[in-house]
Amino acid sequence: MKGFLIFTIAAIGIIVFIGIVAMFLLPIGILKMHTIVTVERAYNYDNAQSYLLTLLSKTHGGDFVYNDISYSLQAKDPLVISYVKAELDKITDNKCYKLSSAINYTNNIAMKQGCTPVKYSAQAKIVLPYNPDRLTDTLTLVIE
Amino acid sequence: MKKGIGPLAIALIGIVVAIAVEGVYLANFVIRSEFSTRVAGETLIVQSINELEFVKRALPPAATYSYYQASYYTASRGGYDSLDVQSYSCIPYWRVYTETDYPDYRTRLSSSLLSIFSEYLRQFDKVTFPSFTAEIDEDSGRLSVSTSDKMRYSVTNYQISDDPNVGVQVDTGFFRIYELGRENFIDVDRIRISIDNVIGSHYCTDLKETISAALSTEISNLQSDLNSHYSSMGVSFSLSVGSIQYDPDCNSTFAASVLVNVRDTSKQYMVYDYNEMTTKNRYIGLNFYVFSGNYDAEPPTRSCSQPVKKS
Repeated sequence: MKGFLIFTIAAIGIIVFIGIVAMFLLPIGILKMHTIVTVERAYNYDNAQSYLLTLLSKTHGGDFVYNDISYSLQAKDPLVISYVKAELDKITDNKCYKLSSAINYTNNIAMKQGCTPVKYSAQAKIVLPYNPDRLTDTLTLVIE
Repeated sequence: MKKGIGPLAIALIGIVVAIAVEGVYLANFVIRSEFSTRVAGETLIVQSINELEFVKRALPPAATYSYYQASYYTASRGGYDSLDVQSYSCIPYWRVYTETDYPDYRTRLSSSLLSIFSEYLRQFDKVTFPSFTAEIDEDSGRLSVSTSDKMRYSVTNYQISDDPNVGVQVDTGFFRIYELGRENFIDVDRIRISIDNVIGSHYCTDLKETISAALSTEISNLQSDLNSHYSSMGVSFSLSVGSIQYDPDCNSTFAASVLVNVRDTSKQYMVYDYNEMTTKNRYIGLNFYVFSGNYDAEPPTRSCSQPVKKS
């Protein structure tokens, strides 16, 4: 009887110990995972933003890609920006990507064939040649 | 006695160890929380810098589009943004007999440009912009849209600022349409010369239709002369007779309004037209009226329904 009591108290002590330790380990583990995921997402989101910024800062044939895209969107002329895909292939180092506009005339401006990017997206508002009803458009770049 | 203390000692040791472990992990938790908060803050700052960079990237094209739109807009209104002179359907009279109104088109263009540029800036609602001034160096083709203050991007508890000054290269070649308009219709009254040719070869009793047809031919000849002279410069003239007011007692005594269009045909720009309500590639053309003749009359006027681009 006495032996059983001792065993019970010891067992309770161990359970309490494990319980308390687990109670703090679990949230810390979750927090660590969350931190890693957050940092990774932020890093990749920053990357998506950087890709978009790099694309818009590049020049092609003596003019900024920014201007070509904005002219093209206002004029609804996809031919003007047909080279954007080749530029994005280089910038993203052949990652999966899709570039589209909010009021696009076709589905996408440029995209990597054979994949569907879903993970990280960056947006940029770009100005268009003057039209009081539509001064800007929003470009969205989704990668990976 | 010793046997009774045993389980309690184990339980106590267990609790003490648990509390010690808890303390270690709690400290770790706090440190990690600070790290997470810092990472979140830094991420937000990097993202804000990128956002501001996107806005900064938008300023040169916004200035360029504003410049061409303002150029098209003011030229189509005879070099005026707000029509504070006699006008007919948004087109001013540059000449009424010997009275001339030649616009200070550079100032008007700058004013209109800044107004359009402000419309663009209002699209970026997270950024506060200062007031800008615009300066166009006609010789170098350098357009500067500048300010002494900074643009500011505000997020919850911090603010990022940057220099918003813009310098872009633009075409100024089409300014010659103003000079050619002045040379031919302000410095000399070519319309009056055409009207005098009609008057000299007609009589009071001639029919109004005959006088009108003769004037149209004279104006058409003037247009041909101007085009043969200036077409090599990439400038085309188009003249059309508007209204003719006759002396009730003599049809060869009359005054006429003539619409003059001077167009730079060397290059097209993507601009918006308020009549067609579309944005497409267009030539920049100057419109103005000349009212002249040997009959004293008031030129016809009509109010303008187009919006005024005033900053």
